[in-house]
Order: sequence, then C-alpha cells, then structure tokens
Amino acid sequence: MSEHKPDNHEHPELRDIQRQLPRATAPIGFEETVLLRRLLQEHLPHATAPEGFEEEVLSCLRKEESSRRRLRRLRLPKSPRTWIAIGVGAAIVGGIAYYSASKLASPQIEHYQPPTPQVLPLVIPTDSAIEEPVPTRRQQQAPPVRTPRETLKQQSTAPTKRVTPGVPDHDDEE
Amino acid sequence: MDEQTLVELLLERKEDGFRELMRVYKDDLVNFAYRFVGSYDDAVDVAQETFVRVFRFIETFQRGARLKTWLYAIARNVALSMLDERKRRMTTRLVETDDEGQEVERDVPDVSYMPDRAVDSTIVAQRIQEALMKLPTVYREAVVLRDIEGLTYEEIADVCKIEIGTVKSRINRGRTMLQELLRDVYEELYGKQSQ
Repeated sequence: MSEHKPDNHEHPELRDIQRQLPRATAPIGFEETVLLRRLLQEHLPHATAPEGFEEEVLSCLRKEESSRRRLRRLRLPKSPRTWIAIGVGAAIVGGIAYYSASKLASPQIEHYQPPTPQVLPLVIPTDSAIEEPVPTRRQQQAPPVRTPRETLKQQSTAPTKRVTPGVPDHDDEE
Repeated sequence: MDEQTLVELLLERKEDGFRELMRVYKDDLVNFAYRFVGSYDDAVDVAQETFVRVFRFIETFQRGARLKTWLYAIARNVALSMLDERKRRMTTRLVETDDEGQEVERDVPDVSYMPDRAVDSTIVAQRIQEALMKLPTVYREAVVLRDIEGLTYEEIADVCKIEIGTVKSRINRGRTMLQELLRDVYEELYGKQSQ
C-alpha cells in the first residue's frame, strides 16, 4: 500500500499562495560573516585547562568549606546549656568591664575647701572717675561737735587785704 | 549526568558535583576567558575563581535558571574585574585640554599585548587574537560568546544581562570591526575575491 503524498499540483490555490510569499534573502555582509566564523573556528585553537586544575580548585574549596564549618559552629551553638554558659560568661565579662571602666574613668572626689574670705574695701565709682574708698563704719569719725564759743573764736577765712576800687593794686604790678 | 541532578549535588555541596561541573565546563570557561582577557594564565585564574564562586554562592542559584549561562555570567564578571584591574595597572592617564579649555582625562591602552604562544602557536591564530583584543570589551565578549563559544542570542542576553536586540547589534558591530582588522589575513587565506 503506497503512501499518498499531497502534491501542490493537486492544489493549485496552495501553489499560488506559496508564490505570493516573499523570498527571504541573505543580509548584507552574509558571506563575510560566514568567512569570519570559518576563520575563527578553523584557525583559533581551543584553549584547555592545565593539568591539576581540578585538584587546585578542590583544595581551595576544601579549605573554604572547613573554615565555613568552623564559623557555622561558632555562630550556632545548638544546646541550651551552651547558650546559658555563653550568657553567664558574657554577663561576668561585661560586669567586670563595666566595674573597671567606671572605676578608672570616674572623676576623683576631692573635698572642696572654700578659700578664706578676703575683706575687700567697697569701692564706689564717682563721677570724676576717681575711685574713692568709702571708709568703713569704724573708720568714719563723727564730726567734731563745736560749741557756740568755739565757733565765734574761729578765725575768719576772708582775705585781709583791702582792695579799694579805682586804686591800682601794687601787688599785681609786682 | 543531567543538569538537574548536577544542581542537586551542588546544592548539597557534594564534591562529586563540583568535580563533574569542572569536568564539563572547565575547558569552555578557560577558552572563553582566554579569548576575552588575552592571557592564558589570567584565563586559568578566571576559571578557577569562577568555580570557587559557584561553590560560595550556589545557594543563590535559582532552580529554573540554566547552569551554563550562570557559569558564563560569573566568568564574565570575574574577567571584567581582571580587565579593570589590569587597565588601572598598565594604562597611563593622559590629561589633555579640549577646545573649551576643560581638562579631559584619556586612558592610553597598553600596546605591548602579545598572544600566548603556547595556545596560539600559528601566526594566523596570534593575529586573530591580537585583533580580538583590539575590539572594545562589549563587542569582544559578544563575538567570543557567539562565534567561538557558540552560545545562542538568548543565552548571551542572559549572560550579559542585556536585551536580545542589543546582543545582535553588538555582535554585528564586533564582526564588522574584526573583519576590518583581519583584512590581510582574509586575503592571505581566501584570496582577494573574498573581500
């Protein structure tokens, strides 16, 4: 029994449709690209890994894996006892550190002795910008009490020289 | 071993998993890194560092993602860091004054690059590698990943974290620049009719 193959001759409409399909053409530079690829494939040797490559990498990986395991062991202690021991240890160390730090870093306590007060004279500035010491109460003396008689006996402070108006003063000429 | 099984082994940090990963990908990564950074010793360092990082960050690998593109993305990042470091070490910073009197800093690339003769033993291979190293980094990585490593556009977009359209344009631009740089090699190998 022969297999029946569809032929385009039996379907002329299909043949027309196929004719209407545009023909795909090679792009510009197609041949050059083929030549280039041929050049690269034929004349460029394939570099290979040297001998011992795998062992070198594996020894590197083993080292990394052992350090990773050590780190993991340090990072994740599983038993609660270990956690408690670590906590207690940390608390002790922290306490010691805090105590020594507070002891060393705290300021030294000194008993403060205030200096003996010094009696300074009270100074009141005057208008003339000359500072005059104000006498203390002890230094202030009571004004002398005069009797009326003493007051009469007091010599006059008026000038004794008589000056006559219109007469030239001889003292001035001298 | 299929990729899913390999990922499971890696997530369990089984040494067999890492051995298998290296067996499958070490040569591809060394080759990619060599064509990208241009030095075989640096390429080996890049590949080793890539596997170490895979080990370190395997927990961050998303199960739906492709292991191959993840590996290339790590290798690319390591290689870029290495190139940056080399640039800082080997370039001279030239300060020029532009038309407006402003000071402009320019990097003068290292011109003393020589391909590794242990890898590129033929003159043609050395000239191709020299030409590759003259391409800007973004075009070089695209061309190397597509035409040398044979990654698809989607995979390159995944590795470089860019759009597929950008991948295509970078590959085209890189190829055009490479053709210009290798004009003499073409003429020698394929005759003048190829141009």
